[in-house]
Amino acid sequence: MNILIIEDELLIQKSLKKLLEKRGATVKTFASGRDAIKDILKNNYDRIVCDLMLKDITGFDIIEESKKKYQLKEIAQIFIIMTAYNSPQVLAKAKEYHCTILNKPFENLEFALNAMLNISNTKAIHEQHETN
Amino acid sequence: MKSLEQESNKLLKKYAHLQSVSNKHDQIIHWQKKKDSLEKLMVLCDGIESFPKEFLNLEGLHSYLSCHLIIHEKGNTQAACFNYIHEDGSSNTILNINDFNYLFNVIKKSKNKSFNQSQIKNLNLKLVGTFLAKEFILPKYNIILVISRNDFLVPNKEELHFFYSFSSMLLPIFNGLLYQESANRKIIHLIHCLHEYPYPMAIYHQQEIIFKNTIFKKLENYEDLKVKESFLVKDNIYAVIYEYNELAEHTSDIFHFQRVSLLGELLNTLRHELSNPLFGLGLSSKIIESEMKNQDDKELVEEIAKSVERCQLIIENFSNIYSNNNKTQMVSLQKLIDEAITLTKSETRGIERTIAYSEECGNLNLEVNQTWVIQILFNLIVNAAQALRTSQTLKPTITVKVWIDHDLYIKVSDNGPGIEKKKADYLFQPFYTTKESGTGLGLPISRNLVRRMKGDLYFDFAYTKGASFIVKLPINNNEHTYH
Repeated sequence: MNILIIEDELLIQKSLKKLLEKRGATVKTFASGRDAIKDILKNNYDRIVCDLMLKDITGFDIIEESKKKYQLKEIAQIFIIMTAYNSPQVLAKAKEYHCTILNKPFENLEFALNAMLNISNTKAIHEQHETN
Repeated sequence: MKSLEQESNKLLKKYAHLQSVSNKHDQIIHWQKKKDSLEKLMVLCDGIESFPKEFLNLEGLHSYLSCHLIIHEKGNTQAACFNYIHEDGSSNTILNINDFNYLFNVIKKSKNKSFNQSQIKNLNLKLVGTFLAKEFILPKYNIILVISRNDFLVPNKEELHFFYSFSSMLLPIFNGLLYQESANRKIIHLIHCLHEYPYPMAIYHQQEIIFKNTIFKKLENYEDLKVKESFLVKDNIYAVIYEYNELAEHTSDIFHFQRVSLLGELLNTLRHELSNPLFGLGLSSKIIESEMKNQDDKELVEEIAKSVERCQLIIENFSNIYSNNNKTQMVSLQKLIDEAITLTKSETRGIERTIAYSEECGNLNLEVNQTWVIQILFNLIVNAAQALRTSQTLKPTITVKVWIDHDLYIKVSDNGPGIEKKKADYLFQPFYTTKESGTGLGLPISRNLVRRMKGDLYFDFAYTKGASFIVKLPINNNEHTYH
């Protein structure tokens, strides 16, 4: 189970990595959105957990760039958006991608971790990409 | 026969002579009357506004029902109409300059000075039938005087004569009234300027203050003020202007608004900037805690996690004030109060706390916005604790009393130094603070929140052992439609 975490708040990034690894996941992390994009296009992940407000670009930019590789449907399955700024506009935009949205701070940590770990069908997606 | 004829001619001549004498006499009486009326008019008019009414009261104009005095101050775009209509009373209206000029010219050019309403069809004047009018020219004003019986009868010669001979003498009266009017306006303007003077100012007659301007009135203690300037106005009357640079007292509305909106922005930024690292701290401390084996270390890390939660709650509470997010939910009153007290634990360390519930509210559940109620109580308790701490009160105690009297009352009192009555008036004003590090926002925000819940928050003047605040919240009935 491969998880990518894109989060520039290192304390959150490292804590999440540790918590997910404890539950058996393989976790890679990025603080920079641009570096993450390059990596996403190169490697396959079962889950991409992405903060919305990064220092260089936004989580939306990352998703838009990922469209080069994934279809909208697939984006909805792979991506989880984390946000601390739940303004109605931001939420509306996030909902357009139909992916899971987690508000920071998490109201329920276990629920959030399970959402990240509960992976379905992504294997099929990547197999398809590889045969292409 | 001839002599008879001569005789009768003589008599006729005599008669004619006598008649002319009597006419002259009548005329003199007539003039005398006019002079009296004029004097009466001058006495009765206490301002230009009352002129139309007094004018119609003159002998000889009793059959007239309405009088309009229209005054245009040169340079203005409007003319003022002072109207008096029998039965309707006095009224003031406005005529625009084009209508005024049109009317003025019609009247000026007219030879017989008698008019009817068809000539002023489109003007905004309540005139019916025929009317008499005269125009006057003063250096600064053009004036029109109109009287009407509100009927269509053509005015007879006597009326015309009376009106025009009389009105020709009115110019000095108008002049006097208008001069008085503008002098009054100047005085009002001057007094306004004195009141709004940006420094405290008082006018003394000998030792007694006979005038205080707005800022001066607001001052609590003017004896400590430094005199900036003082000058003699008249014998024994002098004006004193004081130095004034206390920013805290000079919060004009705009300034105040700027501070409030700046604070809102600041809170928002703080929330955005702090919530992420706090979340990180919370997450990581939980991980560390679970990995700790030594019980002491574990407890230490646990305290870190609790502090983080408290910080998050405070930020959340502060930003809630600026949002309309209002979730109500059913909670136990006791739980709410306990939670508020737990939150103030560190501030109230070493202070005795007693909570007394009256019987009927021991198990009360409330449909409220929890965060708000906790925040309000938190605020009151922290205020009390800070007062007790800075005053170093012996046996410091904070008492929370809860009872129901139609509404729910929560009273938070301390046994500290209390609050002076005159300061208590300012407690709920934003940015008023008695603490060195206070924001002056706690109480106004709390009151705002309570009022949004259709309750109230006030200072208990009756309490004398310290300071005491009462929160009143509605409970019975289900009409909790909070906004």
